[in-house]
Amino acid sequence: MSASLHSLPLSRRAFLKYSWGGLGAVVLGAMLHEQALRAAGPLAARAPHFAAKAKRVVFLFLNGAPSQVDLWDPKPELFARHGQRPPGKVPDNGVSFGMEDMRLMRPLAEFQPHGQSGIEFSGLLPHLSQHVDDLCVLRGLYTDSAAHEPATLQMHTGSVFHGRPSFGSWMSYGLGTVNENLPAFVALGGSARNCSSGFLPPIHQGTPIVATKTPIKYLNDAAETPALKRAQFELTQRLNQATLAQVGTDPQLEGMIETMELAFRMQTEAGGLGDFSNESKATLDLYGIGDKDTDETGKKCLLARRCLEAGIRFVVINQGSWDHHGDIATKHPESARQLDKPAAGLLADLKQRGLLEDTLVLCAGEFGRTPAAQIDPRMVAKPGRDHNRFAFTGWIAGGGFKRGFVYGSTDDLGFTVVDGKVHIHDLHATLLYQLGFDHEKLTYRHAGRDYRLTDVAGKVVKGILA
Amino acid sequence: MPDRMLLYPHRQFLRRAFVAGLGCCAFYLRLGAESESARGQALFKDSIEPLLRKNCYECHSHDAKKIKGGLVLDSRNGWAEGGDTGPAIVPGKPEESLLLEALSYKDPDLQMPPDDKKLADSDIEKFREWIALGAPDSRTGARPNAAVRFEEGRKFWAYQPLQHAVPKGVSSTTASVGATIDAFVQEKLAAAGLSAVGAADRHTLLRRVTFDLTGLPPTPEEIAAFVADARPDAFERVVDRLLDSPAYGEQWARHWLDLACYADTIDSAQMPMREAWRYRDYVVAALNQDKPLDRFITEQLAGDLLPAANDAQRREQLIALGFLAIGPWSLAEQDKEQLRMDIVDHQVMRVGRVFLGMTLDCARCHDHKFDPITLKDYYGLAGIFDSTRTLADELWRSNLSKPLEVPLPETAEEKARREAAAGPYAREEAEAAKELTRLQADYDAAEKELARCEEGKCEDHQAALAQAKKALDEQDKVVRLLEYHRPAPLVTSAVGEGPKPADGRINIRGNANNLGAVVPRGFVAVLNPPVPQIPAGQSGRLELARWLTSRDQPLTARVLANRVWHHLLGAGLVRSVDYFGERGDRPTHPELLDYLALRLRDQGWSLKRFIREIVSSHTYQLASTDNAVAAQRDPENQLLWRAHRRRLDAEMLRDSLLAVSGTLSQERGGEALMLRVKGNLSAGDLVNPPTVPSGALKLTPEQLARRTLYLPIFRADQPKNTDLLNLFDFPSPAEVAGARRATAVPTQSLYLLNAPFLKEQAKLLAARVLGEAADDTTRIERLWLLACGRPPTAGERTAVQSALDDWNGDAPTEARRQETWSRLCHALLGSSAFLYRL
Repeated sequence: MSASLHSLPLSRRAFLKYSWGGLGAVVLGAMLHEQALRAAGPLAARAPHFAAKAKRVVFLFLNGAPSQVDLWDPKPELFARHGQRPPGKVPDNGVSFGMEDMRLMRPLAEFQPHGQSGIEFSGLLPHLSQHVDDLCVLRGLYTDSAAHEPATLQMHTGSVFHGRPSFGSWMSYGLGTVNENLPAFVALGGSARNCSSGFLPPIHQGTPIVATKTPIKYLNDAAETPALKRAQFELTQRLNQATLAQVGTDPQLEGMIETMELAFRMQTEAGGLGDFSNESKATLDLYGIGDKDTDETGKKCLLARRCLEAGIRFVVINQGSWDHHGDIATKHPESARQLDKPAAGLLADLKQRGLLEDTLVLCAGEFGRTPAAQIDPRMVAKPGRDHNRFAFTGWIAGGGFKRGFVYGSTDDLGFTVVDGKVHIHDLHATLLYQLGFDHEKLTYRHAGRDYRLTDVAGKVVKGILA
Repeated sequence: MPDRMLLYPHRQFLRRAFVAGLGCCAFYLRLGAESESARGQALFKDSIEPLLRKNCYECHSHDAKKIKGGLVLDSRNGWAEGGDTGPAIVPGKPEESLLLEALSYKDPDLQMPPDDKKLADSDIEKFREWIALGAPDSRTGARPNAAVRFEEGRKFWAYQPLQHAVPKGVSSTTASVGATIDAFVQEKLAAAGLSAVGAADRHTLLRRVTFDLTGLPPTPEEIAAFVADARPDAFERVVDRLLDSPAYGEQWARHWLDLACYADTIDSAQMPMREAWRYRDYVVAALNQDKPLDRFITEQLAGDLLPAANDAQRREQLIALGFLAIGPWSLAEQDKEQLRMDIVDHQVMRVGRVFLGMTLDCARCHDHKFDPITLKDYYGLAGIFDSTRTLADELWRSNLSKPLEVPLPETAEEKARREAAAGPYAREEAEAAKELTRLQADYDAAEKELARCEEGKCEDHQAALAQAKKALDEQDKVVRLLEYHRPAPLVTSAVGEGPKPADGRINIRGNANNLGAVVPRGFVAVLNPPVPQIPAGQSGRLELARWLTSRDQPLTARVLANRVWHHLLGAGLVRSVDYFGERGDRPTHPELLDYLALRLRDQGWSLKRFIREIVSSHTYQLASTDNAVAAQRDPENQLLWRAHRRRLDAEMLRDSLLAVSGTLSQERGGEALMLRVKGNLSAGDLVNPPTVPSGALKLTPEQLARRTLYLPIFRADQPKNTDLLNLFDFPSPAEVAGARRATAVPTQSLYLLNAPFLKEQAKLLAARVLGEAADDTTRIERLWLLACGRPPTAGERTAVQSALDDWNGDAPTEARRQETWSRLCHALLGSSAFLYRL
């Protein structure tokens, strides 16, 4: 029995049904056995430091930073003080524009309590509101930079500087893959830097995939028949063997032969990932696939679920574009619509398949937005909100976190965290903890130093663990 | 003197006494000092030590499981020297003592004991009093102080002067450099009881040296000439030919650009760094001219501070500053003070790693953990770069900083051309502006119309307004792009002297807004540098460059010699080529390394000469075949018993594909981004500067046929046309990358199997081979010479012939034959026979 089936007990059937297309169980068994035999490579499955509560991760990254006070951090006082100047000093997010006047702006929609837990979400999120009892909502997140690039890098890699490995790469490095026919870490959209392996071996970098029949770049050559492609492949391998025989032994040349073999198999297997033809209408509807607003995120979310089932450890979804310095009243509701149903669909689908227990779903942007209005010179009559690194909200579902739980709070207007502060390093430390890692011990030596995801900081937030 | 010594305690005592309501100062003068000392000691014994033990030792003592922040509080030495953030206590000065600040919980980022376990106010008051009393503490700890640790660190191999050693049995006066290198290697091999494999055959050797020196494969004609050349200096002639070819500078420039974090864009928003190519071309030209490396380095660090004989030289020296000016700056960082110090940090990092093999950047927040590099060293260098200007004073847009560009002296011809173009261009701009005004008026009118219309009957008006808006926006773009491309005096990306060059201050924990002591500008103490005599009003970059290239310190020569060795032999004598510190690799052949470093330095810092000497060694010319005994005992080939086998780098791979298919362009140099091609530059707006769309960047077929060096390099993702770079281990332009990786990952294999570029080149190669030879046997021969630099082996010939027969079938049509040969070429180009140099 391979490690793959141990770690995915609930999804084995789904695994067979959905990711292997026409291949039968016999082939599957044989290939998994082979994977177990080749357990020495950099992607060989490994155990974490201690028993893990979560085995897989989906990071739904809300690109551009959504406004917490409009979505998931209720601020009655902000309704009351609309148009006023904030009382007292507000934290300084640095140089910006259109913030001279600093007038408070009311949230875009009313908030209502939902579920057993009574957690309040905004009316912009009707579908996600129905899942609050499954969520651990962190209202005390804060980060080091108020600029998109460094803050986004920090969210993904822990550091505001370029060149550090991303969370998924650390996970690939720490755990390997359970399906050697696929990478351990995939990225659905977003810059390559957000899924960079930094100084870790490049095999741990996030492989970009898209929700089409060719989900991985150069996966197929449509102009060539499979038989002829195989003939070409076989000749290449004969030539590779000949070179190897000429020099004796060589791990690199051997590695090249193995990866060529794997790539050839991937052509069949990975192709199945993006093929939704065997998904039911009900499932497609659940994710909002086919509707203009929700199609793109819906497809990403469904592809994410299929990746998890196929044994991929870490899926990062780059969702939306939330950076609304102007006309937030029109644009934020649009963005919320694009997110709401697909994200809720993903939670519902994972839950009904029994995958939510040990899958960790994290949803957050790179920082928050200001409770005060911002005047964009391109559309002065339609205000937006500026960046705010001092407070934002994110949520976690599954993965052994408390459910229907709120941690942390901000001041009456939502400028800054007053209680339950969680820095990105703390968040990363806590996520690693649930994945079975002591964040201080998951290290890699580079340029003489043992680097880690959390740099020299980070505290596990025990208060949010179930 | 005794009076003066008493002065301070006296004053302090007065203040305290006054507060306490006691009078009669004179009487307490002496008594006060004595009783203070006694009181301090008592306070320590009764309160302070127990408080430390109870609340701090868990993380801050020698018995702690892990000492946090490098601070120990179980000895006087511990707090006096302090941890990462400097001394914890300044005796007599509670307000300057970090310990008290942490205890008081005033700074949210510095609160001790952590997790809301603040001490009682009365206890904090005791600390205040004890520190005010001079913090008497009788505990002596085991921790050696910083000076002792530094002296220990100084003994490390890398900081020793260069030693001129001679291998046994070699005459230092008569032996050639190649023979001396071989003798050093032989010595180690013999000591390990190993012997090297034989020499590489001529085909292998020619392919190796041609790739190493030019990044390109040898042509069949070059192969035939070398194989047939029976003269004793046949190989030297090849080396001279290669070093003289312009491709040499291109190949070695790429090695240098890997260190210089070169890219044609800046920031993740992909703003064009439109002058960066000038620096790239400078590097190519400097290497082709064999500019002495000490001069090369000095120009890149301080070209603006060097005298110039004429405009051309001045221009060259300014362009050279691209080394410091081009980097991964986060221009959108809103804390501009932090951004400035982050750039300084990167420059310190780059200088440290590129020239000294030191991770100086590790000492930004605390003394280096493993190497004898102190905060003082870091801020001594940081002061130099903080006195240097890398960003322009003005912002690019809203909150985006703008990299500095400096004017270049123009030739008379350039000036005339620019001035001639200015008039017509201004007219074009005026026309465009007029049109913009007209469209604005249209828009305003449409808006008024809409406001006037009756409810329910506004659809047409709305459509008209939308139409007007679209036209207005389009014209706005036209105007902005015209402005961007307006003929302007020549500029280049460079650094300059800052407005007020001065010594810098320690940034506590690397926070630019939290300043500590002033540190005089200087170099790295462990290397015994001179105190730089920096002229008033200058940054000190010139003094830094002079010190880096001086005979006084051994590291620059060692690090650079090792880099060259790495590129030629496939692995450095110190394998961690960018890091020569405690946690890096030790040299496998220390005497050889010093010999090479001296050779490089003392032969006029000539890179070409140095390369010529290394490749003349038998060690360079070894075969890469196996030897069972050696492979067992030295599997990593540390002792150089054979040549390293190497996969082609990304650029070599792409350039070779173009070369073998016969389509490689001979065009060299110039702009990379082609910003005037429609769609290659977004116009930007009030908030956003113009950007370059990496995914959609259009490159002309002519440009795509050029060497990869001349294609645009992006800081984030490479453009679609050059994504091969991402797949084949092109390093991130954010890091100093002295060594390329050679990974084998499935996405590479997929590229080799399916990428249209590979398929296209295979097709062209097939057509070439079919045209250049008449029958299958000679065609296969030709194909192998082109792609692999050698004739096929018997096994390869059989494999290929049988595949050909299979695919062709009987009596193939011409189209079928072409298809078959394309597939064959594709299979070969995707194999290690092509991708490796042995």
